[in-house]
Amino acid sequence: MSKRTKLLNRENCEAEKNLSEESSTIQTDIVVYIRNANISEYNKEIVRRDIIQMLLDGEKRGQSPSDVIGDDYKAFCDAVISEMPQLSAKERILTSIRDVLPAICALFGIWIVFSLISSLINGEDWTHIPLTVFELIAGAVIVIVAQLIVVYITKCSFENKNTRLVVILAVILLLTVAAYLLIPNVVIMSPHITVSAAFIILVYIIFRAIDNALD
Amino acid sequence: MIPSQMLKGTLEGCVLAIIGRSETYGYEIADKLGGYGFGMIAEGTIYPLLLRLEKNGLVHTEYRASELGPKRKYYSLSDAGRAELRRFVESYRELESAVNRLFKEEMNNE
Repeated sequence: MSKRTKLLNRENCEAEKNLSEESSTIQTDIVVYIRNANISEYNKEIVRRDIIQMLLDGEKRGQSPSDVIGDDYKAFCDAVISEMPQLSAKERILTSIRDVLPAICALFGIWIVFSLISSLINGEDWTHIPLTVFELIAGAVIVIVAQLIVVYITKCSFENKNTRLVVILAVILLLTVAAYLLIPNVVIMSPHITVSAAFIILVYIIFRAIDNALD
Repeated sequence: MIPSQMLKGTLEGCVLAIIGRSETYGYEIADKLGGYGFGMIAEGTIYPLLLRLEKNGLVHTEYRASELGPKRKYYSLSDAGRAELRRFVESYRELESAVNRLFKEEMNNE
């Protein structure tokens, strides 16, 4: 995220606090829906700023969010997205990579911590961390499913939240059961703890570099 | 009430005309359109159109505090916007005379 995007994001978070509960809910739904649009983070924040100000201005006139935006919030969002400059193919790929890297860092971090605890409890060698087929495949599945869930949530932001939650929980449960039943727990490598930690740092550095390069 | 399909082709030019009179903001544009008989138009209907005008360099924008408190995005016409407005007025007059001629003949035949 560029400096100007971070600055605008902070301004928007401050301005958002002045919205009424009703306007704030609508604004959040709109922001969530636009989150998955093929436009830059900066332009998403520009749109968010405009919407917050429109809603605040409307509140001062005694108007409801539907008076200000219209009754069809989804159609409004689609019209807005279609008028914003679209990301190039290169920017789209970099954005996808940027979004996945923090999840990879977090999963590898969890893997190291859990392996360390397990080794220390069992009195085993803690300097090398075993990576099993199950952990590798489960990790990849978690990253992919997490991305799909984000896309699903953004696409359904104006729909019933309870239905959304049931679908997400059902998918997670199904995948967990399938993973335990199907994936063998065989160790494929045992890198040194410093190599594992260096890998996480490297992934984080790549994430920061891509994030700073994107607007 | 003017059907939305009919409004679609002309709304952009009409918004340019309103911005061309004086610097203005989204709600005021919608309100003025209502005053001219365009019916109730939500600010949200105008906003995507204003984004398009901004993207195409037809308007300049500036964020300023309003008398009500919250900041507002103010729009003013750029040189390209003024040229576009002149083109729209010419095209609209051509369309208006063509439609009027057609309707005149219809009425004479009745």
